[in-house]
Amino acid sequence: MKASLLIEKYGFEKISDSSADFEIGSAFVGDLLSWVMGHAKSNDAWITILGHPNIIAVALLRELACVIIAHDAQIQQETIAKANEEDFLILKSPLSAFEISKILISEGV
Amino acid sequence: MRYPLQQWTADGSRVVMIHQHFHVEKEDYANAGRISSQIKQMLKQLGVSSDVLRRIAISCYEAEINMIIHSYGGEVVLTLSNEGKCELRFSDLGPGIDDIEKAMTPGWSTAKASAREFGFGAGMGLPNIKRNCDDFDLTTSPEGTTLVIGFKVL
Ligand SMILES: Nc1ncnc2c1ncn2[C@@H]1O[C@H](COP(=O)(O)OP(=O)(O)OP(=O)(O)O)[C@@H](O)[C@H]1O
Ligand SMILES: [Mg+2]
Repeated sequence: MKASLLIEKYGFEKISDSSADFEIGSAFVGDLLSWVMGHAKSNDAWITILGHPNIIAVALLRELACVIIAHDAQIQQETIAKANEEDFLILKSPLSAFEISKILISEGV
Repeated sequence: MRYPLQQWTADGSRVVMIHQHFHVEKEDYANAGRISSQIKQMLKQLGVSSDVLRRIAISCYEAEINMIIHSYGGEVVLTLSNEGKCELRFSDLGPGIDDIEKAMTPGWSTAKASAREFGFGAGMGLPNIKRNCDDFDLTTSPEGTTLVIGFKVL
């Protein structure tokens, strides 16, 4: 599915400036950085409640597709600034990681 | 600019292609991961393959973070030789690791609550490094911890 579909069809909020015009092939859920570092795959969409700028460092090093913040968890301004600098997409939703996963699965991810 | 890796072995003598120092500040969460991304960028420009790059990025990140959250600070030294070996040396100023065997156990962590709030402290850093590098050497004392990891990049 296209990342932009999450915005258009499901009302996810785009909180960094990057384009959402790309395919999401797979996803990873996790809130422990070294777990994500060790187990996520390149191009995964990463569903998390972490909002610290370090998520962008991890996402870039691991070459993840985008970050999806669940539960409308708080995200720091520095995190958004860093994502904008790196042209990296962050989406946000009030849904839980489980509900977001269900959407992704229903769209064929 | 992209350099072909083959050039590294053109001359039989050992020529160090890159030798660079990076400083790591204690509890500098704001810059966590910066050294790893700089190193990844440098190696990418040199044409290191994406699989090796991924393993180096994971290992370097974990070791850099460990210095930030567990140590009093220190430095990272990157050495890339024309023999096609990439070595990363992380040396800090203490307080050292009490029990290396425990530290290497997946899930074991002494990370403080403040670090856990940021998502650190799964106890997976050292095991991640061990799994991703080709050579692993960890020595520690109260004066400091030194981790040397190597990767074949050719
Ligand atoms: N440079 C270091 N100086 C002192 N202690 C360290 C250092 N690196 C690791 N340790 C000790 O080893 C333990 C295990 O490290 P490891 O990287 O595996 O997990 P962690 O850092 O606690 O959590 P995670 O890496 O999953 O965020 C740490 O909790 C800490 O006690
Ligand atoms: Mg660690």
